Amino acid sequence: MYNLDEKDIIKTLKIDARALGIPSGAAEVFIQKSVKAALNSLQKKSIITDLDVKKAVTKELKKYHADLAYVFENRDKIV
Amino acid sequence: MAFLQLAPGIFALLNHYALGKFSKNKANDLRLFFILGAFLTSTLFFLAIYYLVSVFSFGDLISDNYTSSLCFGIIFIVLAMFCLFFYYHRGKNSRLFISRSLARALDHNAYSISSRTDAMRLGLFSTSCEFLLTIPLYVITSICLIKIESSGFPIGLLMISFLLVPILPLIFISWQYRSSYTLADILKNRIKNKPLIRIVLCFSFFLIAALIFFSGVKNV
Repeated sequence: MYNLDEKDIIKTLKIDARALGIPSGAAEVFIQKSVKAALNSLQKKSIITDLDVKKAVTKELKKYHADLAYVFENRDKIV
Repeated sequence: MAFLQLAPGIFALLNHYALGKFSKNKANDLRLFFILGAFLTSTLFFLAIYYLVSVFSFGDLISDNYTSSLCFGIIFIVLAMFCLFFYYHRGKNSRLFISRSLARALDHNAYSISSRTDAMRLGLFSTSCEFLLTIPLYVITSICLIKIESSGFPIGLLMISFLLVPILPLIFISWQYRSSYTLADILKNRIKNKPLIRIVLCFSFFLIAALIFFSGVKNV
C-alpha cells in the first residue's frame, strides 16, 4: 500500500533504486522528476486514489528506468 | 514443499529491502537469520508431528484400515484441487491464496526489518502461514520414516535431507541475489513459472493420494 505523501513515495523509490543497483545520484534526479511530474498530472482529478498515484508514477518512471518502474508497479503482486 | 511460494516470496522482498536500506554485510546477516527461522519452524513442526505419529501409530491406522486410508487420500485430493485452482490468484501476478491484509502486513514487516531477531521472526511466521499445506506432507513422511526405521535402516540422514527441503528455495533465491539478479527478474520468473508450479503441486498431491489409496486397497 503506497502512502500518497510525496516524501514517502520518494523514500520508497530511493530504497528500490539502491536495491536494483542504480547509482544514487542519477536515481535521486529522475525519481524527483518522475514523482513531481506524476503528482502534477493528477492535480486536475477531483478524487485521487492509491492506484492513480501508482499508475502515474509508473508511467513517468518508465521513461528513465524500466526495472524500477516494474518493481514499483508490481511489488504488491509478489505474495 | 520446495514448491511452496509464500516464504520464498517474502524472502525475496526482504532481500530487496535489505539491499536498499543496509550494507551488504547486514543484508547477508538478515538473509541468514530468515533462513534460520524458516529452518527452525519446519524442523520443530516436523519433529512434533513425527512424535505424534509414532505415539498414535498413524501408519498402522492408514495401511491396515481401508476407510482411514480412503479419508486420508481424499484430504490429499482436496489439497491437489486447492493447489490447482486456489493457490494463486488469477491474473498476471504471483499473488497467493492468503488475504490481502496479511500480504500487506508481511510486506510491511519485511520493509521495516532492522535486526536479526525481526528477520528470524519473519522467517518463522512466513513458514508457518503455509502450515496447512505442509501438515499432511509431514504426516506421510513421518509414517514412511517410521516404517523404514522398523526395517533396521538408519533414518538420520533421510530425516536431515527432508528437513533441508523447505529451505532449498530460500538458498536458491539467496544465490540469485548474490549473482546480481534483482527483484524485477525474480518477480518475472515467478509469474512465468506460475502454471508449472501449480501443476507440480497438484500432481505431487495426487500422486501421494494414489499411493495411499493403493496401500489401503491392498488390505481390502
